[in-house]
Amino acid sequence: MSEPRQAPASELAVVYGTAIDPALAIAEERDALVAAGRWLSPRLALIAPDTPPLRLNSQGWANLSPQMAGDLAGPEEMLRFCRYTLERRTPLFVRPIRLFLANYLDFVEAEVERQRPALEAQMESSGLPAASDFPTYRDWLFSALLPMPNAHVAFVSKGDTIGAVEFAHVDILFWTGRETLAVVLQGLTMPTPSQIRRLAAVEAAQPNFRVIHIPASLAGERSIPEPLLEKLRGCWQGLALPFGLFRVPALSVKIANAVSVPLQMM
Amino acid sequence: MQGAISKNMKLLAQDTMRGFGSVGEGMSLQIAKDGRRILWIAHEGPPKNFSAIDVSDPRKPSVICQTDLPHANMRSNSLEVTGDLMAVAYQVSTPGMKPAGIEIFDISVPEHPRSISFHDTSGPHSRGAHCLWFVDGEYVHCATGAADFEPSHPRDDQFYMIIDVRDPAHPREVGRWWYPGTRVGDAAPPPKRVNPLPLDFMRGPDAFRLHNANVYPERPDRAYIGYIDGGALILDIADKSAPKVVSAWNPHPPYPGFTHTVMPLFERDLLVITDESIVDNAEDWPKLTWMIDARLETNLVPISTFPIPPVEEFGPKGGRYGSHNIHENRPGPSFRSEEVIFGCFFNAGIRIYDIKNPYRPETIAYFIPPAPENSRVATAQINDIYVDERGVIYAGDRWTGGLYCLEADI
Repeated sequence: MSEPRQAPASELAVVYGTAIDPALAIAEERDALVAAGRWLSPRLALIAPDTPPLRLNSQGWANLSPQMAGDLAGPEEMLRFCRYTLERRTPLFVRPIRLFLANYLDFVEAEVERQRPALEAQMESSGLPAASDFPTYRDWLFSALLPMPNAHVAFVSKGDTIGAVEFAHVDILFWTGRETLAVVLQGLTMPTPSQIRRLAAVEAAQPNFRVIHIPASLAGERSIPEPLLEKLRGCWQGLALPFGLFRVPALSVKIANAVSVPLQMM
Repeated sequence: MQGAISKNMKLLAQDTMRGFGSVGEGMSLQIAKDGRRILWIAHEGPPKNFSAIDVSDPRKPSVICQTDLPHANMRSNSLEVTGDLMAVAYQVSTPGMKPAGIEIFDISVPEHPRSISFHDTSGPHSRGAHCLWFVDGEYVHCATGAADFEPSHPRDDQFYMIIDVRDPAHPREVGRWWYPGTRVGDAAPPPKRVNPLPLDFMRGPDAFRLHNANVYPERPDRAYIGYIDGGALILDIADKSAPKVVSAWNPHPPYPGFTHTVMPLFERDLLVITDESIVDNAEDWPKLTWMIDARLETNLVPISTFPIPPVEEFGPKGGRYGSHNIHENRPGPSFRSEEVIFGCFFNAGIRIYDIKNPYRPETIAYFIPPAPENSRVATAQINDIYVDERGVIYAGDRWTGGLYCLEADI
């Protein structure tokens, strides 16, 4: 068990998924999460400047137990599990977010295939056989950044209700370890004045909070444009090993020690 | 405004439209070539046809044009603007009268609307056009009778007609659809009446006729129609000459009838469907706004209704009380949202809803003006609503209150 972690003042609380009352979600989970030294639950992320990147294999978001992980035979099933779980974390009636998530995971899958030679070479340089079934280059899939759908970012109001906690909504949120990427899908819904004001307030308060607007098209494929792609591509950079979906910190350290490769960006 | 009841809304201005403050079901905004914002309003009834109001500064609306109907036994009621073209619906009080149909105007000089053409839909059994939709500059979708249409019931006279106005000087009908059994000679039997009324009462309920037909550029192959006692229908209009039913949903009976508007929320696979209250003092309660799960287009499932104040309180206030028009997310200089719905509810005023959780629509703002002077009822009767892309809300009173310009803190 890690030491209880003090929440830094600049911590960003992000309620995501299907939560209807973000304030309630924070009230119910934040203290327990902090006390446990964790930063991610199935509906709440606590992001501080020193929080590692939130990835598909970050613990906490999927409620994946070791037993369940053992039942997932290989990266294909694990990725299917991620798709299913993210879908369940997304409100029923927001098709653009669902399309974005599907396209994002397609992109991750394709990107790993594109980078296969480099990833296999990296495994070999770490002393792992590239041709083995476990681990495989496809285990890098789960180093992809975790997309947090329907995210409500808490901030302290400086307006009429000074001191009150308000929430800015974005469609998908990523934490890269350095910056928050807040994706706003521009579709058939115009923002209300309060939505604009709230997002601007978070941007002003958080220097590493970057809002990326993406046109949401109803017609067929919705691509993931630059500069978001640039941020998402190569999200395994700095990671020495592929960990698959279930990433036990202790196991990670053990493997790392065995291959004498320093772990970065855990 | 003294006597107004409001939450998170502020009145910017009221304009009683030169003393003719009866607003029908047509409100549409034009951005004129000189940049002015001109709100076009169809009047509820005679003597006025339509008015144009400069709302460039919504705190100082100003009527710049007001026209008269040819005679007192007709009404315009509905209009739509696309660019510098405006389509106006004409309905007469008695079948066989004229003029009945659709008139197209060039409004490039808003002070001087110029008639381009008239599509005549009069006939021995027709009252002409009650409501129309015109947002693409190409087709008018309207509720109208026709010379060759003999309804099996006199109040079922207005069906769905598609009129090609790509050459606005020469409009032509390209398609129509009517509820099976409502035309003499149909193979289907006439539909069973929901609340039968005497046959000599032409206006109002007990009707299987079209009210609104909404067609959006996102789905040009679909018409979303409110067929009064026939409920809500989705039509496939990929072939405009032969519309086909995709699906239907009808809560009437047991509910008291009069489906009015069917508005799709394309990115959310939802429909917002309104009934229209048509009897004073809530005698026809409940008239609701419904949220429909349309994820499976062929299996429409109601999941909630929009909250409104208690009928016990508002019914006795006078005038109509209940659902009617909503801001319809039309393209153009129009606020579009699939999360916020703006509606008008007669004596319950203008009401704004957050529908992010469609299972539980939430009232986030409202404005109920006091009864306007000289109204025939004791309350304001908010009849129609339009919201521009700046978020300025325009609402009209049915009798004398005219135009209310508002903003909402939402």
